[in-house]
Amino acid sequence: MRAPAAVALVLACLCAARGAPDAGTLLTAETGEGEWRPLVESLAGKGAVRAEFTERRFFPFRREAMILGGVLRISPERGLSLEYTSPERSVLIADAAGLLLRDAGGRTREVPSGSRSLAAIESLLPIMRFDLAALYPSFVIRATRSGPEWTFDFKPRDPEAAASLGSITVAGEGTDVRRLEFRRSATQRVEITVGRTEAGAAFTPAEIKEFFR
Amino acid sequence: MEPGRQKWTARMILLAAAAAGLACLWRLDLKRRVSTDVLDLVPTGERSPELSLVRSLAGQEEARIILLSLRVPPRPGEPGGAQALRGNQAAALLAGALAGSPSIAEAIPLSDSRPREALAAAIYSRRLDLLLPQWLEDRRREFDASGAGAPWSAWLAERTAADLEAYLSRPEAMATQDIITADPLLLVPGLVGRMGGLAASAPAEGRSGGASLVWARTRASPLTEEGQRPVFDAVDAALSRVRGAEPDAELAWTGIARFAAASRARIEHEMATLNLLSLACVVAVTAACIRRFHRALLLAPVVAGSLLGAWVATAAAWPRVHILVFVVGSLLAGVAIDYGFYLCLQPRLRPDEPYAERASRLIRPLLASALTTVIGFSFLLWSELPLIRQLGVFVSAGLVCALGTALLWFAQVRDSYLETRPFIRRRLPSRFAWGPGGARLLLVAGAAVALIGPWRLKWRDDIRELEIPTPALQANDARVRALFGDTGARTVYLTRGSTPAEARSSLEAFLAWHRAEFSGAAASTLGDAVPTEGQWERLPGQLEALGGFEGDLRAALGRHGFEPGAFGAFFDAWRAQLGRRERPSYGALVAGVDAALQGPFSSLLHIGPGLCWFVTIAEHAPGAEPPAATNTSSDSQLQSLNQLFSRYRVSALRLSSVGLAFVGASVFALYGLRRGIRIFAIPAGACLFTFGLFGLAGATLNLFNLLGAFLGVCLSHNYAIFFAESQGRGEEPPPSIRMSAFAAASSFGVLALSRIPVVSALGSTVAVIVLSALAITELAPVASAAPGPTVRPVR
Repeated sequence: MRAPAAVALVLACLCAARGAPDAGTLLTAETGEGEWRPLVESLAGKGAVRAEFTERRFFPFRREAMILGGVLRISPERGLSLEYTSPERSVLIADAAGLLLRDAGGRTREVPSGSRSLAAIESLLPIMRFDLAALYPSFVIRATRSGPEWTFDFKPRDPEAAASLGSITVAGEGTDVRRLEFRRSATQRVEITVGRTEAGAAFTPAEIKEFFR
Repeated sequence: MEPGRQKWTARMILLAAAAAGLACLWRLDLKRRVSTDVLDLVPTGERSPELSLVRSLAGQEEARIILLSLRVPPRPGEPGGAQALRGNQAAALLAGALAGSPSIAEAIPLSDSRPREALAAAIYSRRLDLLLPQWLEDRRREFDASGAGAPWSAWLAERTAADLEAYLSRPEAMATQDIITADPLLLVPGLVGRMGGLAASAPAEGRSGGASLVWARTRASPLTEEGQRPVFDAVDAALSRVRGAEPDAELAWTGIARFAAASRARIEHEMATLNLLSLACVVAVTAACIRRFHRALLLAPVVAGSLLGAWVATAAAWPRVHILVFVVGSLLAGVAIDYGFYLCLQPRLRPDEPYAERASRLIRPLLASALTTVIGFSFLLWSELPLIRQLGVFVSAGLVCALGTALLWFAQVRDSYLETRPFIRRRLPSRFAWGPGGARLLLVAGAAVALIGPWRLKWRDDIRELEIPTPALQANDARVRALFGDTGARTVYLTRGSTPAEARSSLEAFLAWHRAEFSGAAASTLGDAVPTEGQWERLPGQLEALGGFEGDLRAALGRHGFEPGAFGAFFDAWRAQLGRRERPSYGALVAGVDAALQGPFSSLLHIGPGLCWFVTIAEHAPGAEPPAATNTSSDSQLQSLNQLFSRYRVSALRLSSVGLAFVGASVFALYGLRRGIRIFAIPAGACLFTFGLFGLAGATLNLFNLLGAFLGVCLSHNYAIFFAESQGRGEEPPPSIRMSAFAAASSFGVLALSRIPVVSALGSTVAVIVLSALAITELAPVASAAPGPTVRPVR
């Protein structure tokens, strides 16, 4: 092999090695969470959570992302609630019965459990609860860590679901979730940035009535 | 005529009539004519549109739907998802096995999304035809109301881009982002929002309550035998196949066929039992009252002749006769035997008195009682209700045949006289101190009941009382339907019209009424996916006014942060719509939607010759009924039928009153006014007393109590005539009155035991009336001050 060519090959291999993404640890029902168990358990055991969030929606037919903001609530007993406060008020509840949409006028729309149309939102509930046992049958789950930061990637096993839902990423630091992403493609994705978080939150009866069912 | 010749003539006539009757019955093919379909109780030409719709529904595919839920128990340690998957696989197997059966037209597991996708694809591909007309008119109204200074096209473009931007911040935008570039007007997402109730009515992923669901449609009507047994066999065979893969699978299913089959079996059993019991009671009463009880058999031919004549006349007059007519018709046993009693309990004046002479003494009261009853019942022929008309003919023909048979039968037997036992002839004692006073007191008390009680009566007609309740089937039905989302929290409406255009126009009126009446309650209908005929016809004009819309919309999209170039699919379709020369007719447009409906969705819209309807599902419990002008009925069709039956009751009351007036008039004509009034007072008093008794007991009466009362009055009228005849001759009342009353009371008492509520109502009413009439005939002589003037005992 001529030296320049050999150098080029080595460089190329090095570059390839550096550029290759870290696939992370594959978590399965068989292998369990292994070294990730303490983190998963601490994330799953946070109890009720109240957090501010900012959501960026990217559409291929729009120059800029749509930006929405609100408050996210997780109740171990009642499910997940997304209270959008801007640009317009609405509430989305994901629980065992399915999804419930409540607009600013108080009108509600129910989508039964298992509906494919809002599968991305529905999958948020077990993901935010870190109920991996419930997620293993439907998702291929990988976990990566870089110092205190960690990332879980969820890829639907069903090819049809994978095409419509894309992959879901949950990233955080320590025992706090910082970011979620639903990604179909670079131009079709939703990023949710979680802001100030209150773990072990106590919901008032009025809050439960308004944001859960 | 010589007695010997008279015997042979009577015998020949009887034999010929019996042979002719049996031949007629054989030729009429009773099996085909006797119906167990409850709708055969309702006139085919019913003027009530609700009932026409119900009749039509029952004959259409909607009645052929069967709903099945399959439950597969979990395996130890099995996750819920895996169990659900197994359940859905078993449901698919069940649907496949059912679809392979010749008795099943279609079977689809609800996990199969193809029907939903086919409908969605049909609407999406024709969205500009189906949804644009109404969308444009709604926007135009808003534009006109806004008083905006901008041109219509520019205003519309700006509004469209703003709406689209707002929509993208809603949760559902993520699910529809793939179609937005072809539908920036949000026609399809808007429709999905309005039709949310329809989407929610179908359980997601085909599962509900831990069961996997299957929807199927039978080929034959559930009201026919082909739509019952073969379907049950198909379900059994399909379940066996499923159990090959899932041995512990449990199936629950429902459908009209199950109710129809159960009803048929129970009514047939009821008919056989009641007829036999009724006959047995009459025989028992007779045997107990006569000296040589085996001679009671002498009366059997009278009953047989009466029933034969009634069956032949009714079956020959109508191509379809509801089995209830024959069930109620079993009462004839107790009525027909009366003529036998009157004839063979009539003692000879001398040992050699010929039959003709003996019969001639009875012919006036016999004819008076029979013909007045026949006249009365003949008025029922003017009833709107086939059941009442058929009962009228059944009873009238039966009584005529009973009288004819009795006269002929006893003319050809050697000794037709039946000697009664002493107890049946014994009169109530009047010599004791309490006799007259006690009798008067009883009569006064009875009169008080007759005057006060009827005012406390409550009337209610319920078509469900025509059938034997089947609580187990009803509970199963409610359970399975709840799994399919059919709960009391929803109301289903059907809006009808003779054409799709008429039905859609009525739907518009209904939806406007519903918005006002149930504001805030969502109402979802496939009609939202179809423009009205007017909107469709106005569309070309609307499009002409929007010639510059493409440019305006591109600019507006750009202003709102969109990439206008990404919306090429929409602009291509828009230009094609503008340049369109040929447009389908309105009928073809709606038919296109109808053709895309598969499986459970096929019930949402019906297009048939002369009758079309749209279904609307409203998110509220049943409430106010829509006004008639909306041509809409709620699914509480039973209520509609009940109202209808109340109308029939009023009609029956009117006819019964006319019939009774004629009965009374006949009596007055035959017996004069004074005697006539005394005769007529007995049945009228017995009837009022019975209603009074029911009223004081808090009973709720229905149409069949009324019919029973009419029959009871006619029967007790016979007793009154014979009572008056005997009084006129200065004799004690003949024992035949008691025997007739006891036979009728026992026969109708058996009917009162029926599990069919209306049959029971009829039986109890007649039984109480005839016993009351008997009591009057017994008490009246005791109560009268005269100590029994003549008392020529009758043997």
